[in-house]
Amino acid sequence: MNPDEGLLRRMARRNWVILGLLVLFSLPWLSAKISLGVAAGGLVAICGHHWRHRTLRRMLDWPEQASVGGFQVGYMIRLATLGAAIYLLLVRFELHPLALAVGLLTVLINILITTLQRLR
Amino acid sequence: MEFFAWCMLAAGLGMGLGSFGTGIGQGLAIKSAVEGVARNPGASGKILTTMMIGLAMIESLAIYVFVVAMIILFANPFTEQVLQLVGAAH
Repeated sequence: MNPDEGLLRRMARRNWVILGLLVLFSLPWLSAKISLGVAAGGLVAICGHHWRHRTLRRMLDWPEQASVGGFQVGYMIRLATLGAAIYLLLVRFELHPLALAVGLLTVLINILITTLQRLR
Repeated sequence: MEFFAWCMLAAGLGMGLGSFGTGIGQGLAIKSAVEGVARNPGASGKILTTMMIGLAMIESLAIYVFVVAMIILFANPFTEQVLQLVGAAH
C-alpha cells in the first residue's frame, strides 16, 4: 500500500471524526434544526467526496475503459444530486442554513488539517 | 416586488460567476493531472491524491455559492421584513 493510499484512508476516517465533533459543538444550541443541519451538511460533503474519489480512481486506473462522455455524464449526475440534496435540506426540511454550511465545511477542515500536518 | 427580482438576479449572477471560476479551476487541475499521468504513469497514485484534495477545495467554492443562492432565494432572512414594509405601505 503506498503512503498516499494510506493518506486517503486516514482522511476518510478523519472526516467522520470531524463531523462528530461538529455535531457535538452544535448540541449546546439545543436545536434539532441546527444539529441536523450540521449532520446533513457533513454527510452530503462526505458522500460527494467519496463519489468523486471513486469516479477519478476508475478513470485513472483504467483510462482505456473510461470514456469522456461517460465521465462527463457521471460528473453532471453527481453535481445534480448534491444540488438536489442541498435544495431539499434547505427548502423542504427547512434546516438551519448556517448549520448546513458549517456541516459542508467537514471535508475542507480535513484538507486544511492534512495540509498543516504535511507542512510540519 | 423589486426586492425579489433583485434576489433572483443576485442568486443567478452569483451562481454563474461561481460556476465559471470553479469550472476553469477544475479544468486546469485535471489538465495538469492528466499530463502528469501521461508523462509518468507510475505516479498516478500520488497525482490522484493531490488532485482529489485540490478538486475538493475548488468544488467547495461552487457548493458554497449554491448554498448562498439557495438561502437568498428560499431562506432569505429579510423576506419577512420586506413583506411587512410592503404591507405598511399599502
